[in-house]
Amino acid sequence: MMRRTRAAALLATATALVFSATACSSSGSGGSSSGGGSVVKGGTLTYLAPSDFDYTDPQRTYTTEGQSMDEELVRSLTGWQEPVDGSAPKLVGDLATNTGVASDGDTVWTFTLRPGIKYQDGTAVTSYDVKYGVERFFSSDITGGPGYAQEFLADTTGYTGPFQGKSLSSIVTPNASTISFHLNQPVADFNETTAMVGWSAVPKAHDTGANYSTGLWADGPYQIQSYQRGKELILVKNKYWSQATDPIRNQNVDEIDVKMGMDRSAIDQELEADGTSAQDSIQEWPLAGSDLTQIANDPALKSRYHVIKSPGISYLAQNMNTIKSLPEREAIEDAINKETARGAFGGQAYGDYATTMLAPGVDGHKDFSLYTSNPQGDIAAAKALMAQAGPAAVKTLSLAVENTTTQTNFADTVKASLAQIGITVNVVPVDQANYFAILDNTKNQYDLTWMDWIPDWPNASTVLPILFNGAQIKQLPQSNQDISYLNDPAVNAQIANIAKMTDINAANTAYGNLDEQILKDASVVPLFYMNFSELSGGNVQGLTPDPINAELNLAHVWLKNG
Amino acid sequence: MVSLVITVLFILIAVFAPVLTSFSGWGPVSPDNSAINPNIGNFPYGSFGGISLKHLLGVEPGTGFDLYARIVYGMRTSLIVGFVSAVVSTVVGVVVGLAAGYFGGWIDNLLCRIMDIVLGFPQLLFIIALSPVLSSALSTAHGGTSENLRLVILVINISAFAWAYTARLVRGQTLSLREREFVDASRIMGAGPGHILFKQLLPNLWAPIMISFALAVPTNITTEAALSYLGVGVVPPNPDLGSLLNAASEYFLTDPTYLFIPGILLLILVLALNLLGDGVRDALDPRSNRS
Amino acid sequence: MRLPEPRQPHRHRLNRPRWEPRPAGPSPTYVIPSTGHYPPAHSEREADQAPARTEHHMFRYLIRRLLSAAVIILVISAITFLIFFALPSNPALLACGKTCSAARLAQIKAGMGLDQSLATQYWEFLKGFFAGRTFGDASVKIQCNFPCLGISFKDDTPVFSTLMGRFPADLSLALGSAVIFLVVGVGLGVVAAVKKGSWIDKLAVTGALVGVSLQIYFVGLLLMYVFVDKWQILPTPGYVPITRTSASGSRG
Repeated sequence: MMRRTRAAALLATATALVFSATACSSSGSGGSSSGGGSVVKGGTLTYLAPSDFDYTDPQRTYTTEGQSMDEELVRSLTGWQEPVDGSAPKLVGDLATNTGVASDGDTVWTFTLRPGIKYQDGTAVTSYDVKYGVERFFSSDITGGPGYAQEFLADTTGYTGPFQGKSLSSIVTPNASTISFHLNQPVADFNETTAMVGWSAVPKAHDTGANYSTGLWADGPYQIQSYQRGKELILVKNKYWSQATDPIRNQNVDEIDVKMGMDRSAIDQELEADGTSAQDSIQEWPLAGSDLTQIANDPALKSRYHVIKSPGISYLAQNMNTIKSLPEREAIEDAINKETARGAFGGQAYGDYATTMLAPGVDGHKDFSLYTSNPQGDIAAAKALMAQAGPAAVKTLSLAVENTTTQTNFADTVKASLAQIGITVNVVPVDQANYFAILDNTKNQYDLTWMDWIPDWPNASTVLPILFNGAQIKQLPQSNQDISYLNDPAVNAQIANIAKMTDINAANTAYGNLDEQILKDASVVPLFYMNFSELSGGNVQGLTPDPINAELNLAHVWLKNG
Repeated sequence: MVSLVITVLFILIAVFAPVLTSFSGWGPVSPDNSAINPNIGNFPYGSFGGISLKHLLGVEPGTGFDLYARIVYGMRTSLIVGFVSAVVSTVVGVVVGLAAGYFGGWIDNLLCRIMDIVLGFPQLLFIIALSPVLSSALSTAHGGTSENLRLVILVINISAFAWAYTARLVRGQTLSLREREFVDASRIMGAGPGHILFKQLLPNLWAPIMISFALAVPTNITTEAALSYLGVGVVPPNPDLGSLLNAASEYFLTDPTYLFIPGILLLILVLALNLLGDGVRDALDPRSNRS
Repeated sequence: MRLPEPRQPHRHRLNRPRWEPRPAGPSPTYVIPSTGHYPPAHSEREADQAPARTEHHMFRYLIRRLLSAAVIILVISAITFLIFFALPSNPALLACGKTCSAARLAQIKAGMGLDQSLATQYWEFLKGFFAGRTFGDASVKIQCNFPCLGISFKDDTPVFSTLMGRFPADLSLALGSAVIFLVVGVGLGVVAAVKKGSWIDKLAVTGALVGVSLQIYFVGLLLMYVFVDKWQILPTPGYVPITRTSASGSRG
């Protein structure tokens, strides 16, 4: 989910889309179905995907599309209610009756399950199954998923999952409908953690371990009918799901058919043409290259064009270990031409120019701009800063990007920007599939590194403490997220302080100020608040842009001619 | 004959790239931000990929680089890599082939097995796997790996596989030559292996070596383009025909001109070199004489 | 100028290692009781059993070639194995997700078997190819039967079945292009050879050279542009159609 590099999706050509700002919200779909009463049930929604999901196993998926698809199959303790009218997402209880009750200074969180929630075989979902599900996070077979269970739960040392019959003492289930989590630290927004699909029920009797992705036992509105990995996943209605127990989802279409392995530009073209086969389709990945210049001149497409404002940020990390001069780092902040850089990523549709690390959709966002607010940069100011840096400035810098055309084009724009202030940039294209695994290793440091970050839930606690906690560098040498290697004692202390706050509003304000404090070190150049754009077929209605997952939300989807 | 003229022309273009681009005033890595629209993906203004008097072959979408300059310089990269790796692989191949063919016995056996292994390897897969290893081994603390170093790596990568073809050919020829009377004669007269190898055998191997060299150049250019196309060759923004094609393939519906110009030029270059190679063979090898 | 007589011994010497049995005595592959041809005595064999001897040598030659092929495959697999471990990627780290603690990383490494030495891992791989392996510590393990090439770190499916899943498409491509290049290539080649110097010869040779010089990814895109987008004769494919083989094949 985090650091999803879907940025690459918006190939430069992709967005020869000249749409006005007001067209950004998915006006067509939102408007027509919010009128009410017009929702039609039935039909098969086709979901066109270039490749398979990472996993559908709820404890293993860690991509935006995997989380989003799982939300149709699996119910987590809490969830985000996203109304069809496009209003802001609201945290509600999903499996649980409410958003949880915190006690002992946010270190114990208790959830009560709704009665009447059933699996696809009609048996009731119990708190024991949720405990078992969360315990799966600890198995060596259940890989790939987020690490919050390990990070937050108390007494997990040496625990290796439930498969050998052991259970975790920090998850307490006094009865079949109550579950409490004992944490090793106060976590004020733990109930937003539990909105990730992994905090859900897995029935032990149907657990197939590493193969659970294909044999998933559903308690959401849909269940797996067949799943050929890499080819096709067919979801059908779970007849034991009931609308009365679910505040988040509807069950409008009869079937969801995920077709995998199509070329990305082929998907885009098919949706653009909107032929009979594509009318009931949506796409998984954001619009890719090809002939979108034509879309720009076609007003008919605007109702099917969705811009999802994600809480993600695209940024350039400046390595504090190697670019030691503050004036030089400030000069780089001023010199980068964000306009051409954004053009390389696809232009306007890729997102808005960023001046902060917390995107506007993230709780704690504070609006400020420490460096030039001119997107073309301020070369004069940058040159003055370089003069100030004098001989301390490093004149040759490496820049790591993914080895895709989009990213190397972006690298070329950075190279051109910095050439103007006398810095030579050597571009290092890194294998896309392993990009983050390579860059997260402290052994592979570059002077400048392109990065993106999509928070797991829209709170500053999933951004700043992860990206700028210098204490982490030594603790996690192979999965360090502090790519700028900022290790500022004041920042580290403030991160620790905020973590102890139980008043979430005070914490958010403090995070906003921390963002500004971090940027004073000029260790990162915030580039863009990322958007994702997708097309849907002509019959597909009730789609809402999901800013949490940065995907189209399928919760209310229906088909016009279903 | 035509092929020779075309080849020489291409070589001249490559050699005089700086002069040729000085007329237009745009270098291969100097972006013209006024020629692209940043709001729609740095897409060039105007039709046919932004072809104008200012930019004779248009502008590269995404970066705003002048395509004419990139192609002229790209030709240079392709030819340098093609020729240098052909020289390296031919030298290595000739030495190994001579040694295997002349000494025979366990040396021949060992060298032949190595050739078998090299020829049996999935070359592309190997190079894709090897490139990051090599470049991380050669990178410095600051500045990563410079673009020129990447070119060296590329040459090593291509030659590492291409030598085995030449070695095989030379070994076969050496095997038959070393039984010839003049070799026996010089051996009887007390000549050492060095003299026999380089003074007696090598001059007689000239023709097959020239042929294999002439045919290796276009093959290597093709390999280089394919590697750059796959993203493990020349590092951007270093201009190169293969990486130009790679970038252009993502724009081929919106900006086909961008794909066609370097694609057709690469085709003409490789075709001319292939024809030249065939011509060399016809001239040197009487058995394959066609007309 | 050729003097055949003196050259004979040399030629003989050249051929000896390949065709003559070692004087040191029968090797395991040498004993073939079922054929009944094995000569009991050296002299007898030389004198009487010349036909049996060639048959015998042929068999030996085949065995030798097969064995050396097996060794080469082994070496290639070992080197490939090594390269992928020399790569700066780490499957355990990829599977561990972000904010991966050292303890969790160690646990996943052990689960994948990556904590063992390279030699052990390679041996497990070789052994597993024939004997099959099981993966995972869950209640339901993943079974990987002969010929087991291991399981994918990405989707936990046996590699061999993934390969077989792709095989039909590859086969149809290979067969289809083989038919085209055999018919067109051999046909044109024969015609060009028979009518040497004619326009058809020149055309065939030129076509072949153009075919060889074409970049597959360029032609693929070109064909897609023409057939799919401009003329709309073909539907949008999931992959770039590979038709270059038909052109390059005609070189023969």
